[in-house]
Amino acid sequence: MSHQPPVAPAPPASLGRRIAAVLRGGTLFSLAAVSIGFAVGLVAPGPGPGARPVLELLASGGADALTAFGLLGLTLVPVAVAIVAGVTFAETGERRHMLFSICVLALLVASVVVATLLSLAG
Amino acid sequence: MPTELLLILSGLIAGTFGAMVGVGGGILIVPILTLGFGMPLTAAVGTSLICVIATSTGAAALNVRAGRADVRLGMQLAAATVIGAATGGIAAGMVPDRVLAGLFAALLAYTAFTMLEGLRRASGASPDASGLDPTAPDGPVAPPYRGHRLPLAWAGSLVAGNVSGLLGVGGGVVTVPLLRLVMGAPMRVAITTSNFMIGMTAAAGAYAYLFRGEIDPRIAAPLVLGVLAGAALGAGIAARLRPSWLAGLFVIVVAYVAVRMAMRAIGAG
Repeated sequence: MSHQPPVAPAPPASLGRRIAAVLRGGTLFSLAAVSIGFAVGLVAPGPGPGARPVLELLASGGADALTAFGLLGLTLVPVAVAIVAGVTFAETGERRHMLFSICVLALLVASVVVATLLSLAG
Repeated sequence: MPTELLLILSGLIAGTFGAMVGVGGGILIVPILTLGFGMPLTAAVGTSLICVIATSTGAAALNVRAGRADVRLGMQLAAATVIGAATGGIAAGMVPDRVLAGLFAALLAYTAFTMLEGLRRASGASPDASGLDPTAPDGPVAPPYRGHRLPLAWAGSLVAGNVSGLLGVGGGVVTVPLLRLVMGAPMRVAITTSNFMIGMTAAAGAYAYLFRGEIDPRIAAPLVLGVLAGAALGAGIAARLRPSWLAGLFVIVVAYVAVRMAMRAIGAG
């Protein structure tokens, strides 16, 4: 009879390290996309696309699509934070906080879904 | 001067000023975009929320890693602020511009009043002067605490989230006093935890604006870059200036903007 080796709980400090890494990495990645898109958009001829739904902007391609991708990425950093927090709490056996993280994640995803549906409905 | 440069400068000013006095840039970005650039209020609110997310995630990375923010407490309350912000973001599309302007003027007046109270308490001899003063230290070691009165904090967080999603601010003007006075968190923990929550809150509100098509990438991009640079600059400058002078100047600016927004609400501005 074989036994699975017990999963070592993540030390408390790893929660902060992991979330900080996601926050820093996500912010830098998103801002890099925003900066490049903005810089390319400045030198590109013609007026900007104006305020349009983000899905349309992404589909349009070009510099403004890259900027929109960066802006959308920035808003998705908190989603990644909620995922990482939930996983870390699950590893450390903090059931209550894991449930709160799942709840925050579900609400953020629901916000995206509702916003998408409302925009599609016109 | 090209509009892009003006937007970067505006973001820089809002970010610097916001970081210097310990509030997010959102409280200044919305008036700058509406009163200065003539943008519709809902578009300004959505753009401001993007800037709020950027400043929050940037600062939260440092605070969370250093253990200054209470992630567990933040996640508990974020569940409520996210609901409030998402509903606020959706509702903003249905609320007339002038009503939003009136609500924003009320928020600015409340912020100015809170800062004024903080100044008054700081100048007095009250031992509990740190109650609403974001610049007050907790001492060398923050006292141990245990978050309590969660249902009341949830109710307040729901309101804070709604204010954020509807008016494009971080909601720290509500969550910091909530964490400090209702839940008993030390001031520094209240500020850093509120900042951690603000990213999630603002994101929930921002989706509605992004997907509704109210955010122009060529306006949001320079503003975000300016605000982030300003936030870094402001944090450095604030350490060299007297907090009371900064707060006093901020109260004057916010009171002036509140009057301008109130005039817009009644159709006189």
